[in-house]
Amino acid sequence: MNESILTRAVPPAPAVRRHRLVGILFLLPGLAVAALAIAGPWLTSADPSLIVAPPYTEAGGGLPLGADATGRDVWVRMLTGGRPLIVIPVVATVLTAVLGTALGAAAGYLGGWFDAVVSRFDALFLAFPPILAMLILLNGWGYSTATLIAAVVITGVPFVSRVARAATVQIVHSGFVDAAVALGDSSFSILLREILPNIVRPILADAGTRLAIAITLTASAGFLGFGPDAPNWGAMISENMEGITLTPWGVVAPAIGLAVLAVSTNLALDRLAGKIGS
Amino acid sequence: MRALVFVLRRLLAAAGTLLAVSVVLFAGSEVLPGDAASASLGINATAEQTALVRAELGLDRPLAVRYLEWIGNAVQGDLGVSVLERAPVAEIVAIPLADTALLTLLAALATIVIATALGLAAGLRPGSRIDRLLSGGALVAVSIPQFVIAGLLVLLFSSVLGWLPAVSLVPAGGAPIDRPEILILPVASLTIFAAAWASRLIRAIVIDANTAPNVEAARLAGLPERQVIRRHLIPATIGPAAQAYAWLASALFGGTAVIEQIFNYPGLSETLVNAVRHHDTPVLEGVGLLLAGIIIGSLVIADLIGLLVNPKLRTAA
Repeated sequence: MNESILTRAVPPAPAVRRHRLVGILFLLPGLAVAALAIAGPWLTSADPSLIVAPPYTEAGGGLPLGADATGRDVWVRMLTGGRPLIVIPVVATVLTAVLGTALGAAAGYLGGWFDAVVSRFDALFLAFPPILAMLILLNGWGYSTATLIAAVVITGVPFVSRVARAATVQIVHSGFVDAAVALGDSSFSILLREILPNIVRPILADAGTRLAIAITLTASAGFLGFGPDAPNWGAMISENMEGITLTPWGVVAPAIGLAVLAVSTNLALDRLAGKIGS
Repeated sequence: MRALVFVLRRLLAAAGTLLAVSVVLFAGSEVLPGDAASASLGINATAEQTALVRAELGLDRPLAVRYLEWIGNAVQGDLGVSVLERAPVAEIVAIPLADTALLTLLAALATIVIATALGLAAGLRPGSRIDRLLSGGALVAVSIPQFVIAGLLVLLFSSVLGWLPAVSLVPAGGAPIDRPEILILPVASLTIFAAAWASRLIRAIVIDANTAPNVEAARLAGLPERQVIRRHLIPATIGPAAQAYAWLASALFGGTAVIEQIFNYPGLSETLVNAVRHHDTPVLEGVGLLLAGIIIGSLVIADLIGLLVNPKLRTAA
């Protein structure tokens, strides 16, 4: 694919100077939701698949968020269904960032045929909807946590690699790189000690978006019924959609959880990247 | 002449990309363990039974041979036979693809109008109050999973206000277009995400163009701002904007996979989910190839638009 707006270095963070307070306002709910999702399974001993009330019982009494489509406790399912949506995206995003950075930085530094191959590979994947790639992998490899992580990584690496490559190309002819070359440092050492510290910022800024997309993809897999193991917030939304007019919490609680999580991680990492740069 | 060479080279490159995608697509869905044979027999099948079905489906032949057969037939319009429905894939996906394309086209139109307006508003005055508001809002909107947006829209417009239907019930034998009101919420859900995403790109493009030498020169020459924008800035943004909007094909088709499920809309999503559930690999490969073709095709169209508006590109090729 030829040069396009997306294969060019897109300015990683929009030049938005958000009010300091706004950042904290977004960050706190995100941390709260993440803490709830991670600690949730320890906070309740109830079985999330136990039927405790008639389907779509309204909130109240012993059921703070009512019952879901089959009469299970929405609050217990909220507590137990968030952890995979944190663990899988975080693991996948770290892997994506490491692989993508290594690939992109090496391509940008080495140039030549390696660069050509990596750039082609990136362009190829950029032209394909990640969710469709995920469905094809789930079909080919079976539903499992490993497949989900692999799907998120495979669809994310081209984006990170593109950012890392663009940032590397910009600094590859700087004095400090030339100096290291003149000193006889190995390519690996130059990539690690000279290039990497100077391309971390755009990659971190991009990591927020990657993590948000990873959360979305993982939740989408759950929503479409292809794991992570139930209960999970993505699946809860599709399970309870039909009863949204009877009692909204089965949909609204996981929806808010996911929205807060994704938005907050994206904004937080965006800000962090801004801080590192200044 | 040069333009013709450019167009031909572009088409050739697109065909090459599509071919490369098809290889990855085929390898990704066939190279690893689970296959249609074991799926159609269930977990209790003996090794002999599986081998028999594998032979019957032609799965025992080398991967490269099967790929060549598949892509050879695909070029002639034959996408293989669905394992589940025992019918040609092309036949199975035709109507759902048309229904999904309807959603996608409507959302693309809405997105182009909205993102262009917002991107211009933000990009012409970077750092202004309106820019901060729009950029912040866009960052929030692209972060939220689309089915979450859709769920909240249903809650508001169907449950609370009761203005629009929550599910896309299509009368038997009819098409979604017969009941336009069922299209509103799905299209809105797709558009909110896509417009937020595209407006960030348009904003960056406008900022780029706004500091280009010809625009600055026109401004210094004392041309009124409206003329600068109309005669110098807008033309310079059309090429890159076409590129950005071409990616909508990918973003929107990806979005429909979950949005259609929320609204029970009769499109490709149901076909895809069923295919994954029943391990109907030919259907997935067929849909994947068709969508890759559509997406790559829209990228080519964007390049040709860029060629039309930018005389420099005609000689650069």
